[in-house]
Amino acid sequence: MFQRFILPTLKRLVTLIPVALGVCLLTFLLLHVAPGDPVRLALGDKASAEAIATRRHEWGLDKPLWVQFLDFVVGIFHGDLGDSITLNEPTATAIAQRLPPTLLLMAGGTLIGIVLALPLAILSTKKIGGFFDEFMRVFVALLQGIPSFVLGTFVIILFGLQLKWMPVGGYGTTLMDHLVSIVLPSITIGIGLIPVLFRGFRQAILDSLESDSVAFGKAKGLPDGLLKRDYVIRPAAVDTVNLIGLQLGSLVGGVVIVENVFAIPGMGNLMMSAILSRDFPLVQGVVIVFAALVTVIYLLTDICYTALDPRGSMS
Amino acid sequence: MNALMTVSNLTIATSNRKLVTGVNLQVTAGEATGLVGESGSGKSMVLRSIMGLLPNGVNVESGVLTYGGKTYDMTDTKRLATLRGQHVTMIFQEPGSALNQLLRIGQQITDAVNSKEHLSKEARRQLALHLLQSVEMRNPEETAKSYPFELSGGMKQRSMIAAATALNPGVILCDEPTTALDVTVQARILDLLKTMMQTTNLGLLYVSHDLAVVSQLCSTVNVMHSGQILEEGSLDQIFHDPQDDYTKKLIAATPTMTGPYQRYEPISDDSLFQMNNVVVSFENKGFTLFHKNNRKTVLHNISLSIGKGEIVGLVGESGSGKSTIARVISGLQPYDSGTLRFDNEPLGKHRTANQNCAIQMVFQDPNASLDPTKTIRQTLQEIVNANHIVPHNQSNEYIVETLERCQIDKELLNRKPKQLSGGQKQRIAIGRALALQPKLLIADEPTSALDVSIQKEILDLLLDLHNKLNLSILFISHDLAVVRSFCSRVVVLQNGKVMEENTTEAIFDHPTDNYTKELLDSIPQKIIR
Repeated sequence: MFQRFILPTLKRLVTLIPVALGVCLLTFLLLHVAPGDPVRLALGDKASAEAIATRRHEWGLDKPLWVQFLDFVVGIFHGDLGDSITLNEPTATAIAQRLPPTLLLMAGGTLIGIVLALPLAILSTKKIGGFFDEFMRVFVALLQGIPSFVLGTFVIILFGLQLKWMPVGGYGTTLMDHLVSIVLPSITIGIGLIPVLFRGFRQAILDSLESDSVAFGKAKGLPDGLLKRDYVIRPAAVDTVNLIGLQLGSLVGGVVIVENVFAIPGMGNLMMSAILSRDFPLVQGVVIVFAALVTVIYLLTDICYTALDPRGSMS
Repeated sequence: MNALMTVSNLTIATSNRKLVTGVNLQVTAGEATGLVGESGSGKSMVLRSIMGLLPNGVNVESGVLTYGGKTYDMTDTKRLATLRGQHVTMIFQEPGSALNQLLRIGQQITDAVNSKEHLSKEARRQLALHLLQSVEMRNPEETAKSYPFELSGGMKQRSMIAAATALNPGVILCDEPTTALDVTVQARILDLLKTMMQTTNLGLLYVSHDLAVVSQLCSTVNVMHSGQILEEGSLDQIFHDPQDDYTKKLIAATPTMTGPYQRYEPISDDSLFQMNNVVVSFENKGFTLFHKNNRKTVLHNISLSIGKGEIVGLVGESGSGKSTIARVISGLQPYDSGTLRFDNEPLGKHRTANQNCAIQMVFQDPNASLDPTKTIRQTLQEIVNANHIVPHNQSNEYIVETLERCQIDKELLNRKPKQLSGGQKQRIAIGRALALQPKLLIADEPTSALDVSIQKEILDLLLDLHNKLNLSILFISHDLAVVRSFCSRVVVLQNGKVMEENTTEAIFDHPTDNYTKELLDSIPQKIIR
């Protein structure tokens, strides 16, 4: 247990420190070379030079760049991501409010993606090259060509406006509200995941169908159901854990668009408005949390894989 | 003789080609029927068709199987499938890929029984132990809890046999089950199969390319060639009085443990190559808390010498360090300590072009030394020109001449490797080495991937080149019968140490080391002519 999971996890966490520093430095520098002055944006065109200088001093923007960066990094280690310029509250507080909807959306979307793609792949491989298999190949190729904001609009029109099953936007105030309002965006994300997951599952199932262990399983006299479960689908599922992890990682980017389509007050929404208003501390905070999220997802993927495959090792 | 299972008039075909035609076979209880043939002869297809495991696009066209008084139409795979496990089962060549990597051994040897009888946890554990004991597994308790990747090749093969026999089938179809194993492990698995045949009255249908292995186990032998059975007969009949020309050729090509030894005296007293106290170790990958430099030694103080014009055999099982030695000699492998001398000059870590040319290698897989994107002529021209063997304008004639020595027609020069057969490719690989005019040729299992008849041709070629060019050869092989027929001196290697070194005659007739004796006892050697 210690050798297999805990030690490699600790090692991985240690290697994250330079990665985190790199992410901080990059976002910090990129924002500062981007055109646009946050103080001008906040005070408007007509503000006096004096007022601008005062505000600049208040926000610490008059210090040398490297001092600003150092302040920022030291702050992170104190759990302080700085104060948002536009929201008048600590960046950490703003992020803490907006993180849960995003996490919920990612989890829901992935779950729906897997629940849809896995059975489709299993059905499709029942008769390879059969009608359903061919149909799925075309369907999946089409699906891949549809961007998520178009897909989201379709989902809104169908389930929200025509069938009136679900609210078409917003997040509500109670937990039940949250769960209900997350359904349609999750479906949008889930459908968006189908092409990659379906192809991954399908190929993994084909590979295990042709494996010697399936042939030997048949020769042993295993019934079809057991053979499918333990010798085909299980190895195929283990093979696709990494793929699912990678998709989850890339979802961090995709969720921004879907949140905007459905007006979900999540991290993606927050980031968009922070960028548009040059809210440096907020953008930095959001990017760092996103980066942390991606690395945690990859770490969890590795832990899952190691737990599922006896040969797996994390080092 | 009452047959347990018969196959009659079996024809297997793809949509445009017949792979197997009119095969008749018979398996008797308590006996093994051998099915021998070279690669592509269709022998595996026969087994797979009985199991209903033919690959996509390959189908049984006709064929009738009888088992236990019932008759089965072999085109009816659904009905044939009812035989699987309880009546007929199959074991495979690669136990590593045939076992399910995600399940513990205990679970996968009992899952077939469990699916029929729904055993309690304890009953299932007991059954697993019983099955593992029946295949003479040393540590049944521990093995049952292990995953396949934690076991050795032999243990995996035993586990596979245990799993196959869980439902007490009458017939086991064996598809080269010992080909991937070391010779000592092969001997133990063959013993196990023999014991199981006698105690449980199992019938085996044993497919192999190796006549010697078949002769150890089978009472009846079928010789198969391009989809047909050419000859069927008792073991004695096939080996001592073969009727068919192909059978005769196959038997003649199989190296035996009798016959005269090779005696080539080195042409001068001083040796061509010397290796003194060479040590090679590899860093153990993986994180350990306390030992930062955890190194595994793979060669311990190896010393050996090769005389001018000598053929030295280097034998040992997988992991013994044979190939590492070859790599050290050819300069591909850095070593920790020790010295090398070649042609009375020290052979340092940085070699001269002449030294590099003078030591050449032939690999097991000829594809490793031939560029797939270039024609044979281009590949050889590049090597010859880069090393300035002959003036540029003569390189073409030189290449033709060199390959003619290796019995390669010059018309093949414009082909790419994929347009050539395995035997042709290996000849060209030898020609490639010869083109650099080496004094020492290192042949690392040069015939292991080839059929016996082609193996014979390659060995004859090497011997011919040795005689004509006074070439010294270090011949690396796991196959003792080949070494016996080919080498004049033998070095036996185990776990990176030289166990014994002597003339071939002394090693084979009067071995002194226990490991050498075990190796020799393991050789399947029933063929006596």
